Amino acid sequence: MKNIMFETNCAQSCDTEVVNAVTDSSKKRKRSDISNKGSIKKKCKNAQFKLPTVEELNNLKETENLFNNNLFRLQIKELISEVEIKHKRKRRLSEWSRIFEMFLDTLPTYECMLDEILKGVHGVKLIHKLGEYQRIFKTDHDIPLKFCRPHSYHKFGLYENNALAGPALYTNYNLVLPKQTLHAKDFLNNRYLIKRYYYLLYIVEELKTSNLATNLEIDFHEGNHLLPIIKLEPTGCDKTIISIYVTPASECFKPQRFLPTMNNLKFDLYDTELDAKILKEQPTVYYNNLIAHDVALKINNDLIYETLNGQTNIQEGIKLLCIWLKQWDLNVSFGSFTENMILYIIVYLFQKKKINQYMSSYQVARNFWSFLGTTNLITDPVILADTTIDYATFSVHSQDAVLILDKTGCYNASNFLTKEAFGKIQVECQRALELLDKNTNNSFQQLFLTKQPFYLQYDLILDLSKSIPLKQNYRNEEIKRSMYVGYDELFKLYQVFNIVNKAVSKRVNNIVPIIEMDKNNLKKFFMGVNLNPMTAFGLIEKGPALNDLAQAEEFRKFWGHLSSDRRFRDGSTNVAVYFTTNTIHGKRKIMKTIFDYVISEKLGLEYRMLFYNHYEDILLSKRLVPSYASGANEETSLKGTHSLDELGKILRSLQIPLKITGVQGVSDTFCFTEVFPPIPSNFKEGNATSVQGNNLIFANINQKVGSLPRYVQPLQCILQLEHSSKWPNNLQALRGVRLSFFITVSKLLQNQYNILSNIMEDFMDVYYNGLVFRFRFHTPKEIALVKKFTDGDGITRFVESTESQALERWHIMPKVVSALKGVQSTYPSYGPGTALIKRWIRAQLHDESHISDIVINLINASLYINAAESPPNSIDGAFFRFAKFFSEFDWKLQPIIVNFNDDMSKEEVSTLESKFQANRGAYSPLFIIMQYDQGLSLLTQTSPSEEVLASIKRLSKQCVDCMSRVVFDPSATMSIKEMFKPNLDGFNVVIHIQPLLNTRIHEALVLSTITNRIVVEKYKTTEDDKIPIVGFDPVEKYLSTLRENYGKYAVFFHDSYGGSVIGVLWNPQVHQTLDFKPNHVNAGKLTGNKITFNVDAVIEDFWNLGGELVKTIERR
Amino acid sequence: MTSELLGFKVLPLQFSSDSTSSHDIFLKEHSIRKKDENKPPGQTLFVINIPPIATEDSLKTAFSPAGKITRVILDVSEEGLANKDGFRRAFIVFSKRESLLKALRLKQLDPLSTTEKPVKTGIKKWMEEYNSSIVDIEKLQEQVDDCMRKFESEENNKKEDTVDDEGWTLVTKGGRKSGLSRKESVKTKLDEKIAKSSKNKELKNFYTFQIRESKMENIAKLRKNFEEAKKKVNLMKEARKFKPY
Repeated sequence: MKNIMFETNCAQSCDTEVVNAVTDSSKKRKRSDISNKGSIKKKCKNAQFKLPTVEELNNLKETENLFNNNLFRLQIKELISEVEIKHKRKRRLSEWSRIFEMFLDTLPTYECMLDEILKGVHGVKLIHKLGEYQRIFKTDHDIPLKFCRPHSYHKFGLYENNALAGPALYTNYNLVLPKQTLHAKDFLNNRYLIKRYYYLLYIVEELKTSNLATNLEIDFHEGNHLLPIIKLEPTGCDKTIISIYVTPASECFKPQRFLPTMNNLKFDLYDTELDAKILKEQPTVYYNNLIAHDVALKINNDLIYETLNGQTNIQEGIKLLCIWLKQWDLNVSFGSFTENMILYIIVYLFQKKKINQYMSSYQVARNFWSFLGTTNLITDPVILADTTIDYATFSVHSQDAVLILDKTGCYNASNFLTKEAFGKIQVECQRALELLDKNTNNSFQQLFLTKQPFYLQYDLILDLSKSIPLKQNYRNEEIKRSMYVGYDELFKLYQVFNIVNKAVSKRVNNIVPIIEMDKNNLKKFFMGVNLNPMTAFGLIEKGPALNDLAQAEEFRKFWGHLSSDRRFRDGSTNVAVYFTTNTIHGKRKIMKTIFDYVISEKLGLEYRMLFYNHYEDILLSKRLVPSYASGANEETSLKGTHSLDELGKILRSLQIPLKITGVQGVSDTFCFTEVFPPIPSNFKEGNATSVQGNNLIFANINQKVGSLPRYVQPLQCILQLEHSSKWPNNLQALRGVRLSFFITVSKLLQNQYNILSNIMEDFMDVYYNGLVFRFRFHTPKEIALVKKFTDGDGITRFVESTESQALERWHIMPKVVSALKGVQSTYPSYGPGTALIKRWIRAQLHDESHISDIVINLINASLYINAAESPPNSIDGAFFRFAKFFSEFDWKLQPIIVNFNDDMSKEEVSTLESKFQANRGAYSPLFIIMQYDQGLSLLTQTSPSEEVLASIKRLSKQCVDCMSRVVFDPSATMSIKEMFKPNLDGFNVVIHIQPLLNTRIHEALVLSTITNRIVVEKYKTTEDDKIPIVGFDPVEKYLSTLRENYGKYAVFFHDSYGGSVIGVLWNPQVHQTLDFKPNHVNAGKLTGNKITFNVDAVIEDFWNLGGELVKTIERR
Repeated sequence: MTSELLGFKVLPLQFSSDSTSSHDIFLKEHSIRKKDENKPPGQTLFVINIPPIATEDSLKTAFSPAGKITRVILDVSEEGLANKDGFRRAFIVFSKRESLLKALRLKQLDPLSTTEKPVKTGIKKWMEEYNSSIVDIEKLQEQVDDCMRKFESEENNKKEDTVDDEGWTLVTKGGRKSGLSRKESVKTKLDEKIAKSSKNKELKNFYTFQIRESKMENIAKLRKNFEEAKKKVNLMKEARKFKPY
């Protein structure tokens, strides 16, 4: 807030930017222009029509055929060149490689027994040192170890295939163990793994003496703690990381030995304490796959290299996919999708001729997504092997594993990818395709350019990290457990996951484990949950029928005290779980109840539920609550909507010469985005009021004002009338006719239905069902008359003016609001979510005049309509998405597109967009494209300003930063107080409002629990009903007085929802000292011969203008 | 503190006697060539930097020590409204020239708001406004009727005008063949119609040159798209959008 600046020339700077860009792109043209200034236009045209060269023609055609469109092509080009690895870096690496390979060739030879290392009794210093490393593997008996120079070595990985997306350089070395170091049966009982491990350590120790590497460390291949590798930064190279793998020579082991049907561990080497018989006989699926990886590594890499060699487009496609994977955080967890899998699948697609060398990188990526998005790799596996192998053995023994089988057919590259995580990948692939098809300006950005952290892709995150290490929880699952030998932690985790999954599987679209491993130990354990909006909030969890005894018993056991036997409407009797609630908020809370039961109660684990149901409290904690059950704002909004429907029916039935054909609501209440929708209520004469006719008015005006009746919000509505040609052609007369129309309606309502109403100049207030509806109507003729203007030639023109625009607003608002209501009915979290966002923006002291309610509604609607991720299902989710969006929002480049129901065609949108881009400076800072205002963005003409947008962006950034802190640091909190309490430090002046005279004080932010709630009594129609004092908000009036008169000198900040402070920031220009001139004496005082800003007097004016409303004014 | 600047005199103006600070207002005799009945020369005082809180009545109070004031005109300029600047200029018309001269000699003004004539501000003002906005429906009906009667009589007058005393009828646009109304939209529509009809007449792909031209146009369109895309990408590049991570 401190940094709000008054930029008057920002529009100009924007213009020059555009101009620069133009000159960049058409330098050639420009040069010819200069030489021939007289015929600029003609020249331009010529440039467009000059004969194309063959190259250009091909290029243009290619774009049409091979890429989505020009923009996409250029963006891809730009991105690929951005991630290009620097030549210098490449050169240094190849120099280093030469030395490194020399080093490998000259490695000394040692021989020893394993025991000697473990006991540390060997005389050679190096071997002695190996004993100091942590011991990872156990084996059945002592084995001989031989260390010597590798049989061969190969570089492999994305970089070697020219498919690495920079800027950092990662590459891998594969050192092949000489045959003589291995014994034919070494695949048994960890023996190979031990030899491999100590060979690695031997390399490490040798490297340490060689000065070849810095930051030398033992890491693990894809986090797999049984597959250690060396990671190092080569000396003399920057941003380069090399991983060193060790694999057996190809003829050592037969790959078939590692099929998931085999048992290769005969002893309890991992302290599982499993039954010896089970150990000996059950297949060791994960252990096998581990060694299969090493055995097949060279074969697979050769295959990949062969396939990709020279295929520049495919290589670029892989780069794009890797960037996508990284940006969407799809590879963050242990056992998630990896870059290696992308390689395998691309090779597979190439084999199957689904991609070929003539395709563009765009098509490669597209085909990849379309393949993965539609193919279930559990039933239709990817198999690179030539022989038709029986993958059924894999499916049976690996339990619905996702299968990506390699060249040998024995190694599954996706061994740790769970069904659920794969489901998530599929969803993301489908989304990527959708984004490509949508082909909006943004889709490229969303796919590749912006980070989409995983915690923002889910509706809620469960964090079980606090319960690590997980408890033992075996129960008759010994056989299954034997499969996981070596991965016991993982097994425990999957058990927990499966139980949670079982409890909510019907209610979610995906639930994905997100795991971080630290060697063999779990470090973090999250579950990302995407709710299924159709089922997630259901009140009943129906179990099996009562007469199905076994099943019913199991259900009862699972759900414990939550379950009960129930008879349903169709006569069936089932065991079921029934959640009681009668509010929508309560329904959202069901998920929490389930997790509480399953995780805390049943599994006895500690957990945090993140980003769900937390900030919703802001909408709940109200000082004023209705007598009926209500949660957030939905119930009360619904009351308003229903009452308007009823009232509309009455109005339509009235017998008047000009019939009312419809009523439309324009208040936020009607699209559920109002934070405090008015509560139906009776109004009676009170201390501060007296009766005049049907109305309450203020009493005792001339005495000291003690207190004021609370604020009653009028619900804005628009009347639609029958078409008539008889409206007079004179503005005054037209308005007179309208007034008499109101009078007629008012009388009829009073006489026929006993409904009270009150007429003001522009509108009519109707008090119905305890609510006040404010009806207006503006005929098109009125707008035309306001715009009408006859110029000197006698030609009538229609000119826009502020007044006409205000009227036009009333004209388009009903359409916008009803479209927003449509959004709300498709996405139930939209309305209350927007209300929360609004509450937050207002709490940060940006009120309607800074950014209007409808603009907030529209921005959020655009997020739902154009959502790259699935639209949020929770209120908190809506809020965080908004913050994420705004923290990256670049309003200078990017208009907000709200294409309701896709009513606007792609062409229309893109014409508007290009119009916007071509002449950016001419439009308002925020530009909203929608179908109702002919591309004029009528609703953003006066606000928000550049400064307000920047301020919201800054706040959003803080919010998003805070989120990532909360995810990774369990002690970090994201309290409501932190997020919603404004910072008053930066203001020059702070005006404190007299709380008793603040009619909206009951809406003020409550940061503690509320003790004294006022329950509004249920509305009853009575004889002595009176129309309350409507829409009387003195603070708002005060603010608008201040803004009208001092807007040039200061900006005013206020929380419209019951805020009791007004922050004032001087315009930096006021502090200038000016020469005396009648034009700039305003608000000044004379100091010597110069004019300076008269701060004291202006602040005293603030005091005087407020009257009793102002408590104190604080100068800072 | 009174001093003179470009012919202006400075006087402090306070809101009420309790005020601790004051605005400096600048005044001089109103002199301008264009004559205005409301601002008689020699009797009118021109004042600038009038604070927003001042009303016409309160200015009368403030300047009352100088003599009798006929009227005060507070100038609301378009510019002030657009800039949200509430400081205004005022013309104070005295009934006698002596008073004007006296005003120019004043060392001090009365405050704007006095106990006898308080300036209503803030909450009281808004409450009063609210109360007076509630109008009885019958009274409102009368007002509307008045207004409509006036309008109708005006309309009737206009109608009568069309036939003059000697029986000549004035031809207006409402006649049997009224012609086109002179509106901008009508004009553009007409232009469009003419262009369209001439377009319809010609064959589109009859001559070779037409086919060639349409091909060229196609390429030109592709080129234009390309240029536009390039522009967008350049803008993004400038905003450093392509740094993925």
